Amino acid sequence: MISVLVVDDAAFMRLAIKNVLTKNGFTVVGEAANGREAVEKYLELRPDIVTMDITMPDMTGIEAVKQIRAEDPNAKIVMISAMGQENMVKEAILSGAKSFIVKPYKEEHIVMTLNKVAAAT
Amino acid sequence: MDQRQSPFVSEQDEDTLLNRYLIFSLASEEYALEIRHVTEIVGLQPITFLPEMPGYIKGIINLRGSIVPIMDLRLRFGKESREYDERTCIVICRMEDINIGLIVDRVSEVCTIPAEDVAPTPAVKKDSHRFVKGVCKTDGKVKLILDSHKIVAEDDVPAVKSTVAGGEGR
Amino acid sequence: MSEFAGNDSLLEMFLYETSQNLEQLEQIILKTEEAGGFSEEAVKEIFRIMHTIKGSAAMMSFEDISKLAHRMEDLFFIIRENPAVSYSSSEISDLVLACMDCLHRELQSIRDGDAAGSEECRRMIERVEQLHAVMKSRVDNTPAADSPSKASGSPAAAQGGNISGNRFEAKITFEPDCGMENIRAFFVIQDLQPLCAALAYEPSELDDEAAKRIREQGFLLHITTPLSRDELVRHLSQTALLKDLEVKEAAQEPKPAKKAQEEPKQTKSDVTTDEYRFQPQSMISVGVAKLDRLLDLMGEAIIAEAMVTESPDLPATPMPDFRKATARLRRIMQEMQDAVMSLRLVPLAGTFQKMFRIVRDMGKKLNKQIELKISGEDTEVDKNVIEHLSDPLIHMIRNSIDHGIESPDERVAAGKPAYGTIRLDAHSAGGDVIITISDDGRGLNREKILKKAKQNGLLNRPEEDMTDREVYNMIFLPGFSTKENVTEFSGRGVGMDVVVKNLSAVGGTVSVDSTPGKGMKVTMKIPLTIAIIDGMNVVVGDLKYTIPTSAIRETFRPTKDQIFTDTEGNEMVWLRGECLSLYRMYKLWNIPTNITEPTDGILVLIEQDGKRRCFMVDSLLGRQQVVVKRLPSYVKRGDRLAHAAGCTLLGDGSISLILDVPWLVGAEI
Repeated sequence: MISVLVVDDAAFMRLAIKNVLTKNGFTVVGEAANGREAVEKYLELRPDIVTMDITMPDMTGIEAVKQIRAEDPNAKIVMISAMGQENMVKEAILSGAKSFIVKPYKEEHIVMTLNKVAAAT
Repeated sequence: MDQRQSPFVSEQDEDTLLNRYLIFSLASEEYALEIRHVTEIVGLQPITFLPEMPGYIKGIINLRGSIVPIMDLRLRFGKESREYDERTCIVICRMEDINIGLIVDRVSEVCTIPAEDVAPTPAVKKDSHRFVKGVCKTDGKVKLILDSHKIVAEDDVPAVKSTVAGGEGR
Repeated sequence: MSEFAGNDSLLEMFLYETSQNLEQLEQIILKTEEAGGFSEEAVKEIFRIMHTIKGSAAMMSFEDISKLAHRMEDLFFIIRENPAVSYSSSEISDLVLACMDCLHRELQSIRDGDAAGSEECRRMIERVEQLHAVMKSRVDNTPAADSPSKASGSPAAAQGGNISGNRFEAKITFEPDCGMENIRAFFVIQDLQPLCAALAYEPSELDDEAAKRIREQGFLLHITTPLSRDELVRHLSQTALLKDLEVKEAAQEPKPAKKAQEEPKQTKSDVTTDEYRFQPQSMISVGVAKLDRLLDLMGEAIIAEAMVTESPDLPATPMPDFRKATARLRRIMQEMQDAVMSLRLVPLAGTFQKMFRIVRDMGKKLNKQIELKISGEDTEVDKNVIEHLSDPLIHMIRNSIDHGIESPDERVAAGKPAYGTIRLDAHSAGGDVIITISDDGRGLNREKILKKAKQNGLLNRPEEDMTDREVYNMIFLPGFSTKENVTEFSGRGVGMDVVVKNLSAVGGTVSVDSTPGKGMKVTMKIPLTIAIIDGMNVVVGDLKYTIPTSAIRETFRPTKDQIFTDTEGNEMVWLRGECLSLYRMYKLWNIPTNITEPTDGILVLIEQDGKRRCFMVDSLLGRQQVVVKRLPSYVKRGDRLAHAAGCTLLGDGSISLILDVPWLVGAEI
């Protein structure tokens, strides 16, 4: 079972993603509402995958990617981005994010992306 | 008075309930009430008397925790009241967003009355048929089709004012 | 997407969180106005909020909401990225507030089950777009401004011909609708680059145009690599949302194309200060309906407890163990009840903060300078109660601004600061919450009020006999309004009596005091919770009534010489040197009973707000915690049952009417 940490400042988004993941056999082991919490939770839970929102208070998703990757170079992080955030997605990728999903997303896209990222070596 | 658009009945129910009526009797007459208004039928039970009510409101009952006002339909229609007996029933209805129990002599059946069998009541004089919106004749017996709106309407408001002068200074 | 739209809990969450976001937004705007401009923090935060709303709304397929939020996001993006750009912060504040109101209305229509998206919303979008265009032209005309859209650099040329390795051509097609195909291509390049001796690709510029081309024609790669074909295929297959991959060996040299070498634009990775920080807490949100259900069950449990412990089937013999057990049960029930009640308590902060907006809007319109100071906003009140507070508060504050606070000139002339101050305070006192609204305006005018009262026929006593307080409190009488010209804000044909009406719906009261020239102070007293009360059950004929024990001073059986009648036939009772009005309840409401003499019945002395009256009942049944239920509106129409605030079910299943104490002590009976 693939364990996932869901990071988004909007509880709505967390719920939406969680619903999709749970329905498709992933285990959501934790949630975080900002970058700082994401880093803490990652170190505590060591999930297989993190879904990471970009725009968040306290610490952005990109900064969180950097910090998580600094602690664990093998961390697998999938960015959840919105249209118009191309440059931030690029930066996230350069910082070590494994893939990204564009909001509003399709359920199967999340599932496909996460499965792919989880399987990758 | 068009009440098809009751928000409490889904479209599907609407179809199956269309033209279905609950038939009950008061004295020698038979009445028909659209079944979509009827929530349940219960036997007579202790009624808590309320002051300041018009005579046809007998009070309220505790129906499994909810408070429901009870109307004696004989009194509402200006008929003579009579002792309640073992066939007396309370028909619990929801009409015009109001939950209310109607005391009737006895409930006989649920039947379908096609719209084409319903004839309008003749205009005798003003106010003569105020609770009846149509008549139908099946099996040789006349059934009076009730206008639920008129039953719960507040058409005779200041029936109160017995000894109390309203609640001004609040 | 539509697959999410049908999900009720998601919709609920969407509505809840979006309104929270909007409230937060309002706070930011109001703070901004206080500070006189948008701080960097505020801009960032507004941007973030709009971004969140945009994303959530798009997921729920509320296109117009998403679009409006998107436009606002764009607007604040310009401000965020171009701190030097000039704009009128009050114009932007007004726009954000208008946009917020529009979104609030959209949410409401979704709640009401109407379709989202309205003409108003689309007009709002246009408004934001217009301002956006203006701002953008300003930025474009500022040479120093560095727009992030320039970020996509051009890849450098591929290295020359003599590179060893296998040559391949690959074509990648992404899943339809996966979005940002150009960035996905960028990702592939980033991933592949370290493994390649040379790498070229088409389209060579991975900009927004490229996204469309890749979507339609796929992404072409010319690769020179030490990897074998299989290794390359395996590597490329790891690309997420890959629909199709073709890899073939290339015959000739890769065309001179460009090499990927792109530095991302350095976006400021920022740590926010805590001014507007959203505090995630270990909390869950629960629907109010569930809490209401829990409260109902709690009420049923209390009744059931009474049914058991006071069952007539219990033997008369002493049962020490049983009594001990029931005492323990009662204690637990009590604690549980407190716990259930506390779940329903919410702080007044949200309601109080709404008032900033009222003060702002009205002050602006009426050209008055007003500062609102709030305190005690952490005080908690039952959820059911809080819903009834907003309107009275708005009404009183509007009244203060409209009638109380003078114009700046007038204030200065009176030796006061030009700024008027309104204070809003809350604190709890026993089972009540006291809310006060005070201002330092001109205060109430006794003469004016008396004159107005006389005109409206509201005066029923000689005016000399009335204290100032009594006169001031006449403003709450139905049909009273001190201002000749009805203004847009406080007039509107409704008087202060709506305040009284709203508050009495939750068992609250209101009073006012004033010092001429110094200001006025309105005090609202609201019960912490209304759902369960401690009541004394009494009998009148076949009827049972419940009187809130908080209002009962004493109960006694009078002797004959305590009772007398005045010349108008009003009955009185002497009690320790005090003369009190006496009302026989059976007479008031024509309730048949055998007990018709006060000396055979019991008198209950009721007191509230300093007013005392005696009521005669047949007998007392006992004291009990009762759950307040509403009387069906059908029986409480018009003036009927004005004396009953509600009803309750007793342990034996019978119904008791709860007496309305304010009515009992205040009504003309």
